[in-house]
Amino acid sequence: MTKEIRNGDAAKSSSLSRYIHVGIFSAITVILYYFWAVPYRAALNYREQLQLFQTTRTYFEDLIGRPGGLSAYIGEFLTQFFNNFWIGAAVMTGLLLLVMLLCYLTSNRFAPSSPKSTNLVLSLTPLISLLMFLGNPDVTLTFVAALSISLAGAYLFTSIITDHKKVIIKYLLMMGGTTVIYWLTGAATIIFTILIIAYAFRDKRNSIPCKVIFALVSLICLAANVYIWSLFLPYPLSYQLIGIGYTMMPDRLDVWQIIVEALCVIVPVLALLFAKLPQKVTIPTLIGVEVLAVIIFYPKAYDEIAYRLIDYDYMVRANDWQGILSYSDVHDPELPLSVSATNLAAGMTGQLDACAFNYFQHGPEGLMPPFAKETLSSWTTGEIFFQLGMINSAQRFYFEGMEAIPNYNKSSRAVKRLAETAIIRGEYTLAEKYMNILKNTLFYNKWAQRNLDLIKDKSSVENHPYYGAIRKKMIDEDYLFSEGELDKTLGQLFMKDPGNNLAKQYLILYPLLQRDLNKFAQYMGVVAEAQPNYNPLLAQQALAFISMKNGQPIPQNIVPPVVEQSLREFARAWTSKNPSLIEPHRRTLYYYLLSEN
Amino acid sequence: MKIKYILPAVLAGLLAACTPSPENVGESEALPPIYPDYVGVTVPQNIAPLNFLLRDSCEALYVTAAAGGYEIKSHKKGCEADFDLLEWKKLMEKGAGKGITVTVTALIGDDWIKYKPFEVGVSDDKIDSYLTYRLIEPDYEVFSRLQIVERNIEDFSERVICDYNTVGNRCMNCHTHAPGDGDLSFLYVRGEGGGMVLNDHGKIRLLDFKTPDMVSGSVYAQFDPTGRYIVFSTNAIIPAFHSRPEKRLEVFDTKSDVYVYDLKQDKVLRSPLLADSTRLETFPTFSSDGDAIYYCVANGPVRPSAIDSVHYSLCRIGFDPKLGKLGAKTDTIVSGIPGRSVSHPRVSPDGKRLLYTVSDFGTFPIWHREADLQMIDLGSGKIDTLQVVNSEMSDTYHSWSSTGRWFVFASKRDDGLYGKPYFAHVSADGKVSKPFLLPQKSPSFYDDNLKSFNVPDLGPAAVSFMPRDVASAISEGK
Repeated sequence: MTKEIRNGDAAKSSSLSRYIHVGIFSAITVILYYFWAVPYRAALNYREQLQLFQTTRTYFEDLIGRPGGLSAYIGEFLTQFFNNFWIGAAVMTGLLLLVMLLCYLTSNRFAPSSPKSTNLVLSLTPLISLLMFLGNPDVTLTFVAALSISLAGAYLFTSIITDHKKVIIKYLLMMGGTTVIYWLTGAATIIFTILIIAYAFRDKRNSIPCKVIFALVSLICLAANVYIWSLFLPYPLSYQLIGIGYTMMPDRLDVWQIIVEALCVIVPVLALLFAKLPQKVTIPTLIGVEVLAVIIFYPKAYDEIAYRLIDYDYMVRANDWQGILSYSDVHDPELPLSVSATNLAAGMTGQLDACAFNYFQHGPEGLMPPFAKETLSSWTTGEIFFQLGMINSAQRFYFEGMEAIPNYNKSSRAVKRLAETAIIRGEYTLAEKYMNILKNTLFYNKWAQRNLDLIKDKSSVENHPYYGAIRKKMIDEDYLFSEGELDKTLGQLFMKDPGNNLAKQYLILYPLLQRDLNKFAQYMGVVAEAQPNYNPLLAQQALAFISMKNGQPIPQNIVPPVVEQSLREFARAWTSKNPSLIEPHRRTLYYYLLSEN
Repeated sequence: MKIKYILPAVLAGLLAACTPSPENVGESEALPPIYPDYVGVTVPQNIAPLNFLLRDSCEALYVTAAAGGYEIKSHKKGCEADFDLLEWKKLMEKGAGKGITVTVTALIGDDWIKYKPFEVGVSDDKIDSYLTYRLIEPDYEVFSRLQIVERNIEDFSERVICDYNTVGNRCMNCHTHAPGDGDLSFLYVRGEGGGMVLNDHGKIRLLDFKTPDMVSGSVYAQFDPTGRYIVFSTNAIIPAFHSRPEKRLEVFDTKSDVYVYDLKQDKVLRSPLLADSTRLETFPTFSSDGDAIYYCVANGPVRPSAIDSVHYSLCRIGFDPKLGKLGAKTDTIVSGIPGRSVSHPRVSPDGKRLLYTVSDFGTFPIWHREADLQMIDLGSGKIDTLQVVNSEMSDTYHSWSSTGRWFVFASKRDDGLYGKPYFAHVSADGKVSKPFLLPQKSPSFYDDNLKSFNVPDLGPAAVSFMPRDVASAISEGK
């Protein structure tokens, strides 16, 4: 009777424990999904655009011929789903939970008598460290896939080896497993090797010398794999040791990678130690340590400034102009990429000639930044040129941005844009080539087919609302591009198509950002000739400023009283030299014109 | 018979059984729209199988190639035809000196259509077996993943001889064989600590012959026939970008001079005639007997806004290889005039002809759509405009096979951007045949490929160095 009651209590306890486990797992799932689908969705977009995964045999063959090739293939296959952040967040969450689950299962193999709740909480530690590592946007899913395969291999090995007492089978499995896992994952095989060594040491059936010999042979087997591959691969040995393709920087080892790999190995061993400690102590302590780790490391792992740029890039790619302006209203844009993206968004929504100085400005480079060998800024600048109608420059910047991808990948985003620029330029054979490549992808396939159908009829491109409209903006005259004379190009764009509203706004803002009022007057004259009724706020302010500066009356027919009033208030504050009075005028054209002179 | 022999045979049989066979075949008077275009071309007998695809939405393809009573076939689902290498070799032997007839029958929709058969000329003249080229995206300023590759054109094997991974993603270019010697060659690895890397039959070393008065390290270079001398130019190169859609990049020199490097004496040979500060001398190459240097020259200075007024002429200066002395006078062979700026002269191994590129202006024909090849008979001075060879897109970066009966060049004819290696046959009397594209194992290779085949160069033998040898030479600076 007592035994039955005890059994019943145990069953209830087990059932309760299962509910707790499911509850913890569900909570983690929801948190992870929200994390990637809402605040860090742009990070998914960032990763997706830095690859061009194709479902072709040659693409698979290119990757599979190196250590970690299958992990790279799986990682890139999964990354393509980041194109849609709802699906992407689910993929990312699933992968992270898989790592956690494998750590949990491996811990259970190491410490079957340890409370499952302890092992579950313990397995959160590698998950948290992996989440911190993924804070570096250059970390790829190749690493996560490699980690999962290596952990799964170790779990499988520890499951099989229990039933085989013959030493020869253990050694054969170890050698075969190491070779296969090294081919599939690359450097992450170290996790497999250390775990199987640790598991061997846990086995009380073998003597210490046997365990030491097994450990040495396992390590030699791993080293031999590395060495043999190095004879055939064109990579430096350091790439192999770090893990080919684990991050986009092939020659840099992030400390978080070491921490993740170390924790994947340490956690099952800790499970063994914690088995003897009471849950009441271990679980709160572990949770406390994990929460503390998140609080300490999260701000560093997810660098706010870097992620702001990624957010801007995401919105530029999506042409979410209103989103950019709303974002800039909250996060003051100060870096070249955010300033130029904000100016583009303001221009595309027709507000640049009124609100340009509501945001930080740092010269004409904020309109069209000079070329930098960096992917995101190249693409943002490329988008500016694209929207202006400078298609040759847009093509160049998208191309250069793709070539600047640190791991030398091709880019789905860039190839799509290159196909578009080729269509606009009338290079249909080239456009066809790019679109045939995009047809080998999951998310660009339909777009490519639609556009392949479109270019069959050349006149349909000419009349196309998107391609045709941009083609009409293109300059007819040939000249060599000069970064120092972009204002002249803007003038030509406006002359070619006075309806090019973006070029018009950029044209009048450009000299103001140079603080060249004479040039402004000249350009404004050109614009006014084509569009006599065009009288934006910036022009009113500039005209009022010029008049006041020259001691002339402010023309009442052009400058409304409210603008004149704001100028007079600024003048009073400026002449007072009182910083507290000047401060409210910091984001005005007047302040900008005088502040650096 | 063992299972390992039976199984593939059964599988092949099953596959063949699944592929529809021609029946109720209709005849078409049209030539098949194949890519690469091998219709009417002339190929060397030692070329790899001319695999191709049909640019049509076909369900299956049945292709036969026949010569001298011997026939091979490719019968597959889809639009691609490929041939067995051993069968192809036998076919080439049968067709050598004559040609082969290719018949394409395609299942389009529900109908089998037999296209008009076409001929492929097979020349007795063999071509050098090895082709080296740089694989590069047709970039502007930023580059990545560069490789120099050696391809055996008798089959489909290739190997990387210089790789971006081992030299830190640096620029590399211009792998050039010495005349008639496959394993004496050089290539460049650019950037700090880089330079010309000499391969002397497997011994790799970095050459450093730049002197302070030179405007740059060597840029365009060629061996003399003995392999003792290297003639090279130093160029101050400026890239610029066009605004018109049909143009992209302009690359021009603001200064350039020509020198000769004596490998034996580790000495640079100079002449004021080749290093005139008021003129731009570039693209030097030796004559086939080594007693002259051909080069291109234009008047300086060059202004970016007037780049279209810079036209290079083809000139010649004597050279005494025994004394290592340059001549005292120069001769103009082809004058540079508006619409004709000469670049990349290459003398045929028999010394009879000189192949060069002409473009409207300037010095970088690979980015000029109008760039075409021309060939001058050095005996008569007669110029062949090579209409059968040239296309509407850039045709340049040519080099001769050591047999003198073939040349290879990079052409952008397919899509206007990606350069691919085409080969053309030159008969003993100087008649040039329609060129053909380097065959690939997968006929759709070029469709999926995003690299240009840059500066293709033919060699009679494989080079005997590896990427790590180049990396070692660079890292050790020797």
